[in-house]
Amino acid sequence: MDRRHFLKASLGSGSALLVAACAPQAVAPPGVSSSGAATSGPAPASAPAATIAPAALTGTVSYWHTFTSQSEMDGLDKVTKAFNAKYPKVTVNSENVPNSDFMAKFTLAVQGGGKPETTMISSVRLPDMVTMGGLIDLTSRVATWDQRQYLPPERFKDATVNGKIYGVPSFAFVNWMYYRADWFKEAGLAPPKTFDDFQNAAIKLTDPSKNRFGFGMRGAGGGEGLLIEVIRSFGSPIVDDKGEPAMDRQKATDAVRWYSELYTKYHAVPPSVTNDSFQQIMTGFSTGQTAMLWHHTGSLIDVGTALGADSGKFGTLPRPAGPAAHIADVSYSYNGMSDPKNADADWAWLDFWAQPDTQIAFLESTGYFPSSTKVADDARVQKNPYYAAAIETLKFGGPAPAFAGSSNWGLTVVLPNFQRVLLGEIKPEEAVDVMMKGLDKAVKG
Amino acid sequence: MCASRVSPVIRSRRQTQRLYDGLAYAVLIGTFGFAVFPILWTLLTSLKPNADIVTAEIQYLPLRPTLQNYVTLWGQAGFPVMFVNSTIVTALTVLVCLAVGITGAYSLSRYRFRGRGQLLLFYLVIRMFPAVLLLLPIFIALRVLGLYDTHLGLALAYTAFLLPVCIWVLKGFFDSIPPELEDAARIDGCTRAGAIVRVVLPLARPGVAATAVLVAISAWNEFLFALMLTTSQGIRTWPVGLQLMVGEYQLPWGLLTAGGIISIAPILVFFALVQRALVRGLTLGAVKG
Repeated sequence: MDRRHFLKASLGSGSALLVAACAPQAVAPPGVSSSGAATSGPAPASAPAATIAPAALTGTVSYWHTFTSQSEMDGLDKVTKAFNAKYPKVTVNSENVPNSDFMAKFTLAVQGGGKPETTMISSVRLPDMVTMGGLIDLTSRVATWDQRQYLPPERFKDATVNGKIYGVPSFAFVNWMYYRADWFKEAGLAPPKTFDDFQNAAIKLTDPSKNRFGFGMRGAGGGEGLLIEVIRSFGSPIVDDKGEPAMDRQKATDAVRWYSELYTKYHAVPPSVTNDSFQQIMTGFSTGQTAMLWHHTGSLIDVGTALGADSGKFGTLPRPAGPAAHIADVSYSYNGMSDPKNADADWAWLDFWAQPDTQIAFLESTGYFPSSTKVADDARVQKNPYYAAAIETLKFGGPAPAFAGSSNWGLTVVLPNFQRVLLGEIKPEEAVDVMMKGLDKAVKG
Repeated sequence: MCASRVSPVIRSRRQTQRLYDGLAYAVLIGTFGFAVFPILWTLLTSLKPNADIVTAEIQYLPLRPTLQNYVTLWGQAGFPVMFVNSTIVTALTVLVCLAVGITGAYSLSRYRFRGRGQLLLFYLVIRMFPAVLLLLPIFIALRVLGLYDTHLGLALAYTAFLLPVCIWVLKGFFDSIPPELEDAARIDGCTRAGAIVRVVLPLARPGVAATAVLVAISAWNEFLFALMLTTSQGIRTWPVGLQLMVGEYQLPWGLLTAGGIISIAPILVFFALVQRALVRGLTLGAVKG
């Protein structure tokens, strides 16, 4: 074939592909109807007709998760062994999948076969997993579940799609803060309870001669969530109850100004702030460069390992209260069913994760806070001084505002414009104007 | 008397040459340093205890060198098995690619048949596809054939996108070997296959060695297919094991850097083994007389 014929053939086949792509869809991917709405998907898991004794329950349960660290694997190991002790004839085969590749592998399994029987689910992925027909409706099982009384309805909010429940909460990430108790004692400062206390402490604990800064601000990836919490603390919602944009320009501007001035005016934040993501702020706190850090309960084990859990060097606190509201995000991780070949054994695994002893064993290994209110009231949790901040936060904390495109809005609009404020390129009010425009576009399309 | 005096023109030329040489060495040393520094830094980090890795002030050299990171990594559940799995899959991939690639490249080099050009173009087109697009059809094919979550299945998946490279590189080497040599061997009684084995392959040894190295490095480092096409701990490969150490909230730098250095070792050994073939092939003569 000469070059001319090759080019003609390529153009022809490329055009044919383009026409086919633009034509109305005759075949939809699994789980999605031609109109784009989710199909009915797999049949819901029905409640068991009669309870099977643990010793009699048989089968193999496959479980996909995103645990990777040694502490998480130790926690999973403890849970699995305890499960095997209660259900000796049920085998659990766990497979860990890197968090960043989880959706690719799950999608492949849905399309090509090989779905796991049970799977860990993060709240941001659940809608997509439901849409592709990858999760089983658990509503009827949850309705008659004996643990239901210890899991308030808001804990199922992120696992509910169109009124149907697709996951049961296994543990919680409770946003709180760490502080250097030894530095506070040295400076004669009380742990901060309000934004004013916090700002005051950050300024007083900053000492460039000792390479110390008052606050390890997360100005890179992930920092947008913290800024949104500050904006809400100043009394500006993001969206209203109907999901419509509801930011208050003045209050949001005050929030952005207050937060950014920790760096731009008071220099109480390391100069690397716009590059500081999770690893950097944790390293700064662990190596004695910053006095306070905003994160969640999932990092407690690492902070304790770095600074010494019993050293008295650090403590945990609820997030300080803002001028208009006391805000702290609480998110849940869920477990759900995807392809239950042994429905009773699979449900037994999901149920086991909600049991008090299981949740405490996992908490002790990982620091991941229990999702069950029964566990939170347990003496083993109550008497640990670090957990007091999480227990207190659960009284006022709640889910972050979520809407279709919220993650993208935070990452591509909120964060870069906040970074420009930190760098002095724009003023807080200009940043808020861009954020509000971006919010309108994200919500309304 | 005049011989002891150097012409100003020659003196200036020598100085200019020295200047150019100096600049060339400076660029070479700079480029070398830029390329080698990350590997050196990884090695130095792997020899530090965890407390000396994350510090307020940067430490270039390990103050308390230790092999504990290597010991801990190797002792962690599943890592020796992953290493062996990677070795098996890489070896299988190299064998399959060379077996099919040598015969395929030879036929494309020596024979003229209808569709030859299109076939060569087709191999290039395959390389243009992002590997992730091939994932689903390969996944389904392996499940149907019962090769999902097996060493052979993974090796065949790697072969799918490494074979085109193999064929193109080997074809180039076969093209440079005069067909007259094979004709001479066949006149002396060799079969076609005998001529390939006795005449063509020894002369194409540098090409075969280079192709084997390329395929081995690609197969050893491959992550996406290894993650998606395996599910059990018994088949998982080394890159997957390393990636699984990167937690959402934890990053064990010591273990990761030790894992990175261990990853390089087999490739260095393999390259050292084939290096002699690469050099020997360069010094062999071709057609004489």
